[in-house]
Amino acid sequence: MKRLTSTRDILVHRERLRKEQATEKQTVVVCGGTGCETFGGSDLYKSLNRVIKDRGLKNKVLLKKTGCQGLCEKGPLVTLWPSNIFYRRVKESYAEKIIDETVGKGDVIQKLLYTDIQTREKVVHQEDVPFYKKQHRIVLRLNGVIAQDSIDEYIAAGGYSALEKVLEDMKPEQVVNEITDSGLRGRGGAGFPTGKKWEFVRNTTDSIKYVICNGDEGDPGAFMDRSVLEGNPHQVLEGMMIAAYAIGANRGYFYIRAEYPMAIKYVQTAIDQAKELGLLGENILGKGFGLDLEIKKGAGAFVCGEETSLIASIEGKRGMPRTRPPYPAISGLWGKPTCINNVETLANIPIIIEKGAGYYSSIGTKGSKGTKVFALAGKVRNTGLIEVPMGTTLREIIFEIGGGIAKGKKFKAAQIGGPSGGCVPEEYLDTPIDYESLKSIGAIMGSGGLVVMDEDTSMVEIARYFMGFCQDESCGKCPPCRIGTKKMLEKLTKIHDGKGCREDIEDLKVMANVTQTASLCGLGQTAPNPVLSTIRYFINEYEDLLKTGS
Amino acid sequence: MKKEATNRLAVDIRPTRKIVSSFGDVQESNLISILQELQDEYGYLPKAALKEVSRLMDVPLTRVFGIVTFYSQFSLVPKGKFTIKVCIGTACHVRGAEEVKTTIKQLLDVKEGETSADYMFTLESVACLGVCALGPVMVVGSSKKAAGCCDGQDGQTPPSGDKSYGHVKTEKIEGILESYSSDKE
Ligand SMILES: Cc1cc2nc3c(=O)[nH]c(=O)nc-3n(C[C@H](O)[C@H](O)[C@H](O)COP(=O)(O)O)c2cc1C
Ligand code: FES
Repeated sequence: MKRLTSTRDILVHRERLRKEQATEKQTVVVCGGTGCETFGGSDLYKSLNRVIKDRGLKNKVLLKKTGCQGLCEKGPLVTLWPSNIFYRRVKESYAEKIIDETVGKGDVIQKLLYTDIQTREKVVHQEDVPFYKKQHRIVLRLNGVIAQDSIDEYIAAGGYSALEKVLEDMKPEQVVNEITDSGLRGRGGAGFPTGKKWEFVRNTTDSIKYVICNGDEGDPGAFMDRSVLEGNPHQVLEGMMIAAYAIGANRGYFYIRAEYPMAIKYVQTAIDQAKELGLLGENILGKGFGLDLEIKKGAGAFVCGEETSLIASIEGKRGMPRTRPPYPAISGLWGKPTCINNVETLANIPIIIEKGAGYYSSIGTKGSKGTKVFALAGKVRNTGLIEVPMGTTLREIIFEIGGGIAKGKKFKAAQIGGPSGGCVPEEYLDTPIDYESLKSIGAIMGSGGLVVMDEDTSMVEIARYFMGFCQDESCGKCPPCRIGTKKMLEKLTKIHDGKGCREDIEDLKVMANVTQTASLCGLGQTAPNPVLSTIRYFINEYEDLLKTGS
Repeated sequence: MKKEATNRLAVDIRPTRKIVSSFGDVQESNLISILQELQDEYGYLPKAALKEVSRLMDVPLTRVFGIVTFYSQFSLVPKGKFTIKVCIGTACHVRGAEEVKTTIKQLLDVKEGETSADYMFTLESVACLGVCALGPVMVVGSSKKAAGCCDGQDGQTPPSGDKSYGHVKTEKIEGILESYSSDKE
């Protein structure tokens, strides 16, 4: 492959790829997301491949595999182009039927169609499935469209045109301003304005700076970042390149948790491909800007998602947090200014550059712009990966996109924000999803884990579960978190086992307060949230347990 | 468990040297990556290998141990041929992960983190495997670099040869485990 050495080169290259990829062929798309793979997507892919070969259709039918298409619960998913027929729960044994009947004769296989839960009618096209109707896909726009390991398809779909635009037409300050104007806020949890963070790093005078992509995704019950990294790694890479250009960094790291071997593999492939094309390395597209990227694997510690711990871990140390300030933007990796952003934050960047801050800020609410990807899981009918505009309500997400509670049970609570988040009861389901509204009801946006609970879930048990998690993952450096989480866990277990008394609840509140205010990092500061929110909204469940104990 | 006995067995130190030298001019920042490769190689981290790392890298052994004990990925004791990871993340938790774990514990007669007497299975729990939509989830993987685990052709099999099971039902677990025991050779 020839290296691209100018911005013109990439334009020419894209046109050539588009011509090459323009196809009259029928295309069979198999979802290669982890969910569909677990349900046998790989075997299905192999069978389809074999049938296509056996029938001598290699020249007429194109088979491809993409990243997660979202509706994991109903996997494996298959889409056919150009007819746009959408099949779900496709067993391997259907490979022949799909090729012979649907591809060959254009017949729709009724059994494989999605059934609308409300109307009981069969739905033929993906966009008509209620799960997809309410979504607005920006970050995930190419998931399910391009092959997950192909830089060619990414480029043909317009990929790396944002990089070309910033290198050709924009000064670093302009890039920073564009991101600030877009209103983008960090998707890793805290919601810090991304443009402002970049500006801090940009304004430091060090000659060495770093960018880091936070792909630790430790929040149990979340798989957004994984799906983006696996489904469309180049979009994150491009975001990182633009970040590096804007802040003046020439070196960057992907920190990805070891539990995600596929994500690591696809990102590594993407880095290698970009290098080969000359999109990484020195003098990118002949514009004098250079960048090298490398992956560091996490080693199974939740606290390493916290930025200062993550930095310690990349430095090869125990991943323990330190006090801030100084913030990493001033003194980060090896004491140098470091910009650390979440996967989804970075995946938004190319779109903002391409379509402009105005476009981006027209989506969402006053204080929260753009879209948010959620991992919808738990006791909801349609679990999976979704992307909605900020301001969508929890009710819309759970009942319209998610199709309501599974097995005809009653909704009890939505846990949003993971171990740092809170449980939202029925009466707040109409709260719009934005950073401030969620905070006001005792939850947080968090990274995007959304776990639905039904009437069978005990809220005291859930509080205990999260506290157990935080206690386990507390790094032990600061006493309020180390001791606070342990003591709270003891109290919660006591209450849960029916041995608690009223004072225990009061004690819990006091401990929660101390742990919140005195802990060193976000882990301890937010660990009490699930306890406080369950006490606030489900005090009756705590009280019921007290009664049985006495 | 026979972990003491196994630890006293002679450990071939050559792969350790090879791995450390493959990092070239090693810096302390490579320590975690080196330990990850060692664990892939040996299936766990033998003491002799750690001592060698400490010597070659000129890093105090206490620091090496500090890293090993901090990160849950590392193990100081040998693991079974297969590692079963039961997800206890939130989504799996509300869908019955605890019962899955209990069932496996009973079937293998082990506690969490332990290895079955025949060294076939090690039971671990992990917080979220990122397949939450399919909870409860468990993953069975070979601990060591098993030959032939990746067909590599279309590059679709996870590199570690892990197989994940979604919507795990407790009644099905025995059958799943048996399917592994039968390819004992
Ligand atoms: C205990 C703890 C765990 C965290 N885990 C993650 C994580 O898994 N992924 C992530 O992107 N941010 C995580 N964060 C937030 C990071 O510290 C940091 O704010 C974020 O990566 C910044 O990127 P953003 O501005 O793009 O959101 C965590 C924070 C804390 C306190
Ligand atoms: S909670 Fe089990 S895979 Fe995420």
